[in-house]
Amino acid sequence: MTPAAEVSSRRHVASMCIGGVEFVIGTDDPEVVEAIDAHLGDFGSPDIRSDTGVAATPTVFVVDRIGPSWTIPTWAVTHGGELLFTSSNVQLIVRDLLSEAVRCMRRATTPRTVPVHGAAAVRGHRAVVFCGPTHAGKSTLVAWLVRRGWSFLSDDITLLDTNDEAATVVHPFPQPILVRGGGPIEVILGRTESQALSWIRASTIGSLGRAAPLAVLVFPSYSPTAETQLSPRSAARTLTEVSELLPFVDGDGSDEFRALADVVTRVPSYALPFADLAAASVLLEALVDGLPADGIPTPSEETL
Amino acid sequence: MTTPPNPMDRPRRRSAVESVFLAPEVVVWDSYRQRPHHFNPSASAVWMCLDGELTPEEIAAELGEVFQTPPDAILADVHDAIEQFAGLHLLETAHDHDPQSDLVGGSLPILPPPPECQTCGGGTPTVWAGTIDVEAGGYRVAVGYDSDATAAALRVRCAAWSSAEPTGVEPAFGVSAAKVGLRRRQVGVVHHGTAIRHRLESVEAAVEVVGSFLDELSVERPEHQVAVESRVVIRDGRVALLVIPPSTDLDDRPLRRVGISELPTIRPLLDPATGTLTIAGTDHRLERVVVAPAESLDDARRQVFVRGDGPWLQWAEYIDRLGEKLVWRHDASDLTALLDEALSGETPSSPE
Repeated sequence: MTPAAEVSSRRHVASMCIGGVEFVIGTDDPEVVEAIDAHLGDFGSPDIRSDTGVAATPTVFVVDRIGPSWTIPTWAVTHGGELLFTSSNVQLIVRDLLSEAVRCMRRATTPRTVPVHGAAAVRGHRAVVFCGPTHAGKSTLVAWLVRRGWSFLSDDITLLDTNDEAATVVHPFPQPILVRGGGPIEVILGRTESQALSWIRASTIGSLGRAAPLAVLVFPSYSPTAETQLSPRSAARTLTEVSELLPFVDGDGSDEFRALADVVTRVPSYALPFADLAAASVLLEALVDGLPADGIPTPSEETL
Repeated sequence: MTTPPNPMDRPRRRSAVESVFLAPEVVVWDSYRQRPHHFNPSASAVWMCLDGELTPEEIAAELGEVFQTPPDAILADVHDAIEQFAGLHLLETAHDHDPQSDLVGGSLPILPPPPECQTCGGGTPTVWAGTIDVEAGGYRVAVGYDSDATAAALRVRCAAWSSAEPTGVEPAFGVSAAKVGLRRRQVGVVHHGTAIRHRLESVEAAVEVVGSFLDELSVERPEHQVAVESRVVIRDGRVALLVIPPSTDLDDRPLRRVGISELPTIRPLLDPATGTLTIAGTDHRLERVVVAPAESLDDARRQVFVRGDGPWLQWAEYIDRLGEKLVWRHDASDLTALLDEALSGETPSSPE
């Protein structure tokens, strides 16, 4: 049975677009449908699809229940009839599907689209990627900017597509966002959630954005005593920090490193210590709005 | 017979190291260890001269001309930089030219010792009598030994793996015999890089720990499991991951007094979704993750993060959800008291 025929025989079919590559997931199980909708629903949104770069034939995954709920494992994921993995945890099935889709997308793109640890948002078709360690304030800043009218691209993993020599393209990767009860994102969203931790869909924060050229790399660092300011960072330091925390590495990582080296020489990067989200967003909006019309800045001397 | 030339006389950058010059600095990617290094401008200038043609003296002369400085004034800096590069395994060594083409794995990545040992030299390097180099799980792994008897035990346990071309760097692991206590009882010692990882009842038991690690490395890990480079302690079935500097020599006598023992493992597997820790095929429920020393809660989380290698999404989420499981302290001077509290069954306090 061809993958297309295999998926068409399933009652529920979901599609998603990752890095410009289309995926289709077929299943008969309502529990899986619910988990896919909660975790991967935004990947199927028409809002994130660009007109170009979409592969003609989608990659097909099928999720089947292989036994009653007390069997271990309960579900199996196949691709073209080949067993990929099994699990008794439906959340894990969905997340592993996402990891598998990222791997497939990377194999399908040449040179590879590089996933980096960072969040991203778009303003006026110019993408800004926020990098840095966990708890630096990336997600909070992106949530704030999206509430102010920017479009959401990604929260934890950001896809940098270096296929086009003229510009690095940032693809949407709208995973759900992990929100802490009483934390800054809840305050920004005006939610009062009793749970310590909960997942929310990216589209609940604001509009989802389409792939856009990368304009600036920003390294935020929240501190209540910081003086909010943007200052240029060296390309060498940026390359080191971005390549230190690569979430997916194929082979020995040198392809990813070369691609990132190319990115940091073309795109300026800035440090953004901040104490005040409003002041930080004013600086960022002035920076992005002041860029050349094509959205691709000329690297300044400080960034070289 | 002529002595082969010493590569350090005319140092050369390893071919597996990718360099990017972003004036005035260089960033390199070490593809063996999959990590970047960022050099300051002076180290970068030296790095660019390491083509295998120039001696340190000639490099000092060349740089002296460029920077209009007497070569003698910068020769010491050139030597320092070369030593640092060699310490990071970024330069070719004599083994890189070893014509042992009948051995497998020449192009395979080397399994590195813990990162702390590579950079700051935590712990004391052991002078090994020799190494047994095998190919396991797509890596070249060097295991040091201290005597013929240890080597024989290691060869028997490692017989299932092909011999590999010598790695030429300090071994990731080592096994030695040692005498302890008033009765000079012999124990087997497992070394991980320059750190002592376990003291066990015999050399054979120590060899078995390394053998189990090679077994685990050779078997494809289930997608949902994370390999965690942390120590594991247990009391009454309660298990804690202990994230401490690899060079810490964990003294098991005071731990035993409070009923805690360390499980002999090098890289336990954790299922982040269920909190199940698998060691040598046995499942344990993970109760605590203890980090010491840590500067802050964020620092503690970061340390847990770098000790894990596995599916990114699940691992990052697990760190976020650690909550009360995570216990950390500013200093690691009294690990016994810390572990006693962490495994007491009550919620331990944290500095913040």
